[in-house]
Amino acid sequence: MSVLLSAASTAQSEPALLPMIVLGTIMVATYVVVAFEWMHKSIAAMVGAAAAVIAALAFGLFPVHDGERMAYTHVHHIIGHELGVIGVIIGTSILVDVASHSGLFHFVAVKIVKLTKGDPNRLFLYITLLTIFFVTFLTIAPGSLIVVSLALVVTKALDINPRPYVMSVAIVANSGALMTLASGICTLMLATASGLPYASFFKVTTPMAFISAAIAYYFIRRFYKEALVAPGTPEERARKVASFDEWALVKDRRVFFRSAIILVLTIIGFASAQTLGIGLDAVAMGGGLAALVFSGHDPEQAIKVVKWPVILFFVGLFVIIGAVDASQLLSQLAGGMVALSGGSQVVTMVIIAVFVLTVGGFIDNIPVAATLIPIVRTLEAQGLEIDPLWWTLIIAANLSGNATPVGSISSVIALSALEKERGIKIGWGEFMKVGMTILGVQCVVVVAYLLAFEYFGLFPTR
Amino acid sequence: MGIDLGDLNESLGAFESALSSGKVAIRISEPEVKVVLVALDGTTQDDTCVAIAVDLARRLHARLVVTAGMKGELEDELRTRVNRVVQVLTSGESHIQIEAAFGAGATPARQILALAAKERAGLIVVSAPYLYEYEGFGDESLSGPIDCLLAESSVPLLLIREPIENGDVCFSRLFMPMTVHTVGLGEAAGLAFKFLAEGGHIELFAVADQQALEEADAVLGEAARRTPEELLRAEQSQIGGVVSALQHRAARTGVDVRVDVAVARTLKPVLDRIHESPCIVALALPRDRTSGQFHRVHDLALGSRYPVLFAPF
Repeated sequence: MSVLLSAASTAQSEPALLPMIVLGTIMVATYVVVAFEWMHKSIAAMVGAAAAVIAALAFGLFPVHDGERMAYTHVHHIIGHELGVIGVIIGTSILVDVASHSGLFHFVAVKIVKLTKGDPNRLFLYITLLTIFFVTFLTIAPGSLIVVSLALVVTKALDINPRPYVMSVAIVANSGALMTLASGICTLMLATASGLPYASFFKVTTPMAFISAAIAYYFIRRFYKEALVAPGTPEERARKVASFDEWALVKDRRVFFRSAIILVLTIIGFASAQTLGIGLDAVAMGGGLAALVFSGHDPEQAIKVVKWPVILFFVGLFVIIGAVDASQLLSQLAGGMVALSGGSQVVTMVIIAVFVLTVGGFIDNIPVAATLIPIVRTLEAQGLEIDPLWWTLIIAANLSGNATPVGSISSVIALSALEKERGIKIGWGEFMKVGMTILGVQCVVVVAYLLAFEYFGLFPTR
Repeated sequence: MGIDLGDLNESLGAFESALSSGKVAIRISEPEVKVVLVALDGTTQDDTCVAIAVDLARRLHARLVVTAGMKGELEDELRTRVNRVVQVLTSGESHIQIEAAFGAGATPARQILALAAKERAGLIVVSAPYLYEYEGFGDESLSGPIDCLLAESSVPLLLIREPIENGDVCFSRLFMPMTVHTVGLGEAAGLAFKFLAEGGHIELFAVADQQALEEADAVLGEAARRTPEELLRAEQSQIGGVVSALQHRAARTGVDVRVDVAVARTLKPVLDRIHESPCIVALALPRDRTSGQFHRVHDLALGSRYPVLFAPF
């Protein structure tokens, strides 16, 4: 131990290599375990966190406090910066769970499907739009779950090939997550960490949400052109779709309307948080609390359905990143990035965009984005403008999930549901053929889009 | 953090219910209740029976007929009691037409049924006190006359169990349990909407009966085996027509309808849900006494401490 401590003590002036290698290895090993699902994600993150804390303690990496080297005492000493993210996730997860089970979104979905009159092409367009719309309000997981179940049930009723519809949900959901600050866990995490204002998202990420969704819509439609046909006459299909009864989905009109009101109020809260000087976590927790108290749902049930595995995953993840950050590995990586870019803002943005878009599809995009949070913060200290870097990270991290079937939660949900319900498996080959094509085009467009913003000074100032 | 099968099945079940709603559609009846018949039996529940019958007659603008099924030595006492009740009620400000009448028949149940037919009653209010006087059998039989009424009445029956201080509270919550049977639910729902107090709500509690499914599982093996999530989804997809009919009527009448779906061994969780707060339990009662649904309904009535409303079909 004394050897380790002495190795770390030299780190005051110059970071020691051994702690960086050990902590870096723990982090990468955890991400690999998570990516290949060798262990439950939450457990993997918690095990990785335990190993990282032990290693950091052994190297004496935790900050100096009152002249003494502070040993590890509380988790929040390590994840202090990110407690807000945990609060946002807890509050949002209660709220969206109540809203997604209220029947409101199912009701709207059936109403909209009826407008298609059973036409497979129009259905494809509406499923794409519903995906964006539902993810905007419910975040990726519940939003894509509702739309994919709708797609599966409707395509079965109309005897249509479900592949293009499911692929659309899997890929377009990642665009939907860019619509607002609160449309995806990854976006929320980065928004909370960066403190970017809600309104700015409409200027930067919302247009990109539509552009990237349009790219996905075009290519999926092209790849599955022959699958977008339906048997029977248009009249028969129209009759079948008209018989769908949206009122069968209304379990409780009280919960239905109250959930909608609470959801809208929370979104207004997110939008005005900065003006009012309130944290996003306070708004999210307020929305979650309102959903528990006023929605009419059973609070016991609503609390049970909070995605506790997600919370544990984030706690573990932030502990790992906190420990790795203490080893100064991340600041070294930031320094390396600056050296590589020659201190150029534009080149740094391109490096971040290409790196995240490439790596995020293979490793879960959330760990990649979370790891880059302290790196981006360090880059500000290196004299770079930080906001364009945050925008780059937000857009790239969300779209990076399009590359592989395990790149984002929407793909996992959509493809598993398709296989379970219809016995149709979309393999890595088929997904990547479509996903990589889309991501390749999106990558070029994203870089051009961000550079245009930088060049023309379009990034909003705070 | 992959896919939550519970959530997926729930969502799929919901959309399937929208598709299947036409296949299992119900029509909610519009029952007419111009006469409420309340039958006294000399038990401590008589006061509750009368209070609830008066309240209903007033709300439905119906005529109230007070009677008693009489046999043997209690005959005179019951006749006196009926006349006294009518006297008390008519002297008060009940604003309803009240009278005493007695039917002819060999047994109390037959007398009540004969009178109900004669008076064209739209509802019979009787009591079967919870666990009352049937030592050792109180949880097995509702009493001979009540069993006979359940088996033979074509008029809806409201069965009073434990004494209730304020009948209005019960009529603010109409509780409708259902399993796989949707036949007769339209009649039960029609009565529920009719009797619901202003500002009250109707609860539909749909339960996939785990016990019945376990029995199917024992016979059919793997082929019938389903996870609780799959059962929940199947149950949910079955009730689309019922939910739609209820919500349509609710939207038209401004009534609050709440629907919940569960997988459970039917009786206990339903009774637990019934006893959460005062209510009227509305049940569809098949005429076929040998059917499983009849016995399930009978068992629920036996276990309920709150009044049970039977809609015969």
